[in-house]
Amino acid sequence: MSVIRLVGVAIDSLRAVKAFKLRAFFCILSVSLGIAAITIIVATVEGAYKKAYDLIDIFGPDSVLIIGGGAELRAVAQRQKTLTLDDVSAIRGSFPSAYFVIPMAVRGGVDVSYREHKHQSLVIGSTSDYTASWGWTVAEGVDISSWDVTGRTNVCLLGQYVAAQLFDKTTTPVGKTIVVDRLQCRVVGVLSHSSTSQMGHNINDRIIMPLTTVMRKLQNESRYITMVKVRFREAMYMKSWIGQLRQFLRHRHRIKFDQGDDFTLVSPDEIIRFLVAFTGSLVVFLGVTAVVSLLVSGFVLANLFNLSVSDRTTEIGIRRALGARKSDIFYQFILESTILTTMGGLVGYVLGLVSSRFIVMIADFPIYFSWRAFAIGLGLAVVIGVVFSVAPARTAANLNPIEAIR
Amino acid sequence: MGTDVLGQLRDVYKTYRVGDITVEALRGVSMTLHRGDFFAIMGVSGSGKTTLLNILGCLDVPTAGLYILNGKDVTQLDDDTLSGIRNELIGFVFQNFYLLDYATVMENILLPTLYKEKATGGNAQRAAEVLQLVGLQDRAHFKPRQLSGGQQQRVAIARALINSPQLLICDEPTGQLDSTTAKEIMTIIKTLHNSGKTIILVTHDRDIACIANEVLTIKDGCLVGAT
Repeated sequence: MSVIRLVGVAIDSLRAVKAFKLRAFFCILSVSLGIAAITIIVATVEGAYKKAYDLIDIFGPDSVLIIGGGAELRAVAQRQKTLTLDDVSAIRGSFPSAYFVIPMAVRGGVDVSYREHKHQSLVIGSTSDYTASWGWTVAEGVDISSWDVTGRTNVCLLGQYVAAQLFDKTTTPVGKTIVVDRLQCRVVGVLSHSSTSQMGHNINDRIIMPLTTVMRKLQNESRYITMVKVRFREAMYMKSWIGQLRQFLRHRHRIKFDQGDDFTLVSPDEIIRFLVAFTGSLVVFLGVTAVVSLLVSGFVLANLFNLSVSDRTTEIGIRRALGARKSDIFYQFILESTILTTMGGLVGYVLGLVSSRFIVMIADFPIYFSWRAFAIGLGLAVVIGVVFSVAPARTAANLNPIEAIR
Repeated sequence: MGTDVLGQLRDVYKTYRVGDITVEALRGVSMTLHRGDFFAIMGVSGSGKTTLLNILGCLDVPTAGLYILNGKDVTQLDDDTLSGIRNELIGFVFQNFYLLDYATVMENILLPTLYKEKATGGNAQRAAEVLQLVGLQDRAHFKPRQLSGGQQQRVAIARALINSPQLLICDEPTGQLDSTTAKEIMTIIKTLHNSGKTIILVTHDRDIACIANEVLTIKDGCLVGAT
């Protein structure tokens, strides 16, 4: 069939689409519901990935977080104090490609107060590289210096949220003395605001102090730290770095080959896996809904077109008498259907956009609409249009013209 | 066969099976159609005239016998080729007009151009010409239901003429029309004949049949002679 002929038939189909408005309405309606669901699924999956990549951007694609305590044994109250300051220096010494090795001592739920303002926050003791290694900047005041770390000074950096909890908007926190647990602590700076929300955690709700101060004065600890962040040059070898790091630590901790790690490595890959698994349940639910509704809309479409073919028997006969081939009639109905489902796809996309707002209101899901959600929705709409109109179109094409115009 | 022969039926039979009953609609029909002929075919219903018309119009093929149209044996052609012949060689005018309700007059007239073997330009101009020929140039953008019966039949005639067919087949073209309008339609058909078209007209009406050059009567599937 020549292109010109097909274009002619297509234009003619468009006319029929316009003429049979009720049929058009129901076709578009039934397809759009299914496509809306598909659109939301794709957008949710994309949102999850985008969120993961955003997080990794903050975390650093070249970063690994080593947390004390094995992942699978944590539940049985396994010793979490496994990482030592010696481990940190050993990693520094043995991994020349690691340009940041940042130990962190973490304590959550620490009471902090400034005069009558009270708050509970997360205290992280670290080195002067902490802000640089996490991509934070100091918005006001100065960073913690290496002097503070060696000198075990009582200074701190406040996250924006903590600063807002403890101080009025009019007072600047820098230079003030707050109480952390029972420790008098001078605020030297305020961290910049980070817009990343970490799965419900407010990332701006944190206090950064010198590692030594936290270990000795808040944790009464001289060896063990909570975690270590390592960043490597040449991020393309991340898998290999992570593997080597794991072997290195297992060796240092004298772990037998049949025993699990006594530490947990969190890599960018793992963050993605976690986030994607998190959205998985919604995707499955919506996926089933979408497949069912797409099938239903397909059958609705096929039925409407069967009716349409019997309604338009005479028209088909006339067209045949005037020289239409079977294939012309066949393509006419396929095109009519596809035009309708494509329109349904477009409506469905808009419907998906609108309803995703409600979903976000109910559950804080990362939903992200891109051309991909649009393309997949539209592609499926076209497929439905073609597949489910084949049977009615074939019936129409095989009508005997003599019978049809009797 | 001379160049003036457009079509020839030779001993054409057509049998249908309706359930267990075999219906012999045509029983050995032979006729020769010259270019520029104007035949009227008369016959009571059930006489086989619709079957004959369907075969002449390439909507149906004989069970036995030959139909040579424009030098080709039509009985040997496939469905697509027959569609092409209907499109280019034959124009149909039906009793019930059979216009598409949802398309305008212009769109209806242009419908056969959609199915041309080779797309040619100038369709719109040609449509304007045939519309003028039937005197409806000011109704181009009307929908069929906005027109009278006579006007609708003129649109159907214009549609039949758009691809410049050699044979015009008119199946009771005045059957739905009052006598005044019927006369107008017949005048148009007569004019077309005068301008060189070959025409086959099926009718009950002896007055209308008289306009044709030759009247054939069909009875029980056989042509029973000219009057």
